[in-house]
Amino acid sequence: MSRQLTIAVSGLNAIDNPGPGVSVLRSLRESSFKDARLVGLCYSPLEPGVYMKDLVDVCYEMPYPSEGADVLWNRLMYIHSKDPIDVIIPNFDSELHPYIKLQSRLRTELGIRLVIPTPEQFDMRQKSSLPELGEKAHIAVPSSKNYYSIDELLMEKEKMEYPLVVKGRYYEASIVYDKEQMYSAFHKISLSWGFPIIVQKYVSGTEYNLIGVGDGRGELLSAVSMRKMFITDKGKAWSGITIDDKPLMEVARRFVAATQWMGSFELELMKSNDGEYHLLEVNPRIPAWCYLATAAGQNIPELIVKMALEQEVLPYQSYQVGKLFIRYSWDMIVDYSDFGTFSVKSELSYDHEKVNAD
Amino acid sequence: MKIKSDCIVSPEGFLLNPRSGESFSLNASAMDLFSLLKTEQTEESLLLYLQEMYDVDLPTLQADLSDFLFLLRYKELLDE
Repeated sequence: MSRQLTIAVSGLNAIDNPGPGVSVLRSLRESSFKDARLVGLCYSPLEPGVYMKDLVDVCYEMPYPSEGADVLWNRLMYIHSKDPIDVIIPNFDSELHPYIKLQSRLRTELGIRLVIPTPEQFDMRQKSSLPELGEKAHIAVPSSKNYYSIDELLMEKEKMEYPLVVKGRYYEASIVYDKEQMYSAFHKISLSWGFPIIVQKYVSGTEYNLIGVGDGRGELLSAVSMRKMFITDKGKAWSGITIDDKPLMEVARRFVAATQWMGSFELELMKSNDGEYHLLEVNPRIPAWCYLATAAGQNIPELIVKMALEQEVLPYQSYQVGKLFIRYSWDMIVDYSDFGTFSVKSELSYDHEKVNAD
Repeated sequence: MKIKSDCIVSPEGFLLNPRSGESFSLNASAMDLFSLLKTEQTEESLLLYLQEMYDVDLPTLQADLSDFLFLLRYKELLDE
């Protein structure tokens, strides 16, 4: 009898800027891999995904990505000795660096497969490199400049035309309308995320996102686009609706062709009043709203697992337009014993409960 | 002219432009016109229909129809 497939998924937090992990797990539970053993990789006992027994079979606490690839390797070695993993789907940008570094070793030494971008692809879509990517892919990108110190910014303060968008290297962005707001946002974001700080021209319009998958050879295997209907104060979509706009799909095709993108990605775009799409960001992973794409007919986590297992995949051709997601928060009640077990042992298994239920 | 075939409308008259994700609420007369526009129409044929259905003077009907068609064109909902 062949061993049960084991898929590990990270990003199980669900704050107002939720991680994609819960949506990825939900998509996998509704896929041809629904009987796979699903392993949650978490950073805190307060990540709600840890306690979602219908979605995960076991959860392990992970070292933070900032601790480096060696620490991650040691932890994965331990987890693999208990739960031999076949595929990992990392769901945070910050995790990709160590996983890119370990990808080949994980495959050859442990047989663990990942479908993630190459280091070159990862760097091409960095916020600080976006104008060059736009030029290469023939996609409009708002002009921007990278600043490595407040002194650089002060030298140019008189030339700046507001409003502008101040962005951190990895996360966080603020729209600023004058130089006081600019300095405040610059300081706050640089303290959190370091340098460079990206100062981008503000484009007004309507926000759209697109989730997609590239096959690593320039072909788009999946793409679902969504208009943001409700946006939180962090700029995150709290509800959205699937749409089908050919020019937007063309942007995705150009992105994948120009980068030869491997794996999942999310494009964040602003459609200006003249109808042009401006690329604001590229996230090198599955976004938190991926279950909308699943519900609309394109199960991207399933596609990623198939790619990892080198199964034949055909490009998705369509999806349902007019499907909405409306996100909500839900107070989950958790036994203190589960919280305690995960807090003390850094792992929590639901195997015994499933055996008892049987 | 004709309504674009990809437009989605609920039975209650809630219209979705599938290309932009914009939604619009149609009133009863707009619903009637929308139904007619599923097949090829002219401004004259629509006006004739409105004259038969509503007891309203011609200039008012013309102005209302013109506003409605302007909005459909502006929102790229018409094939012409």
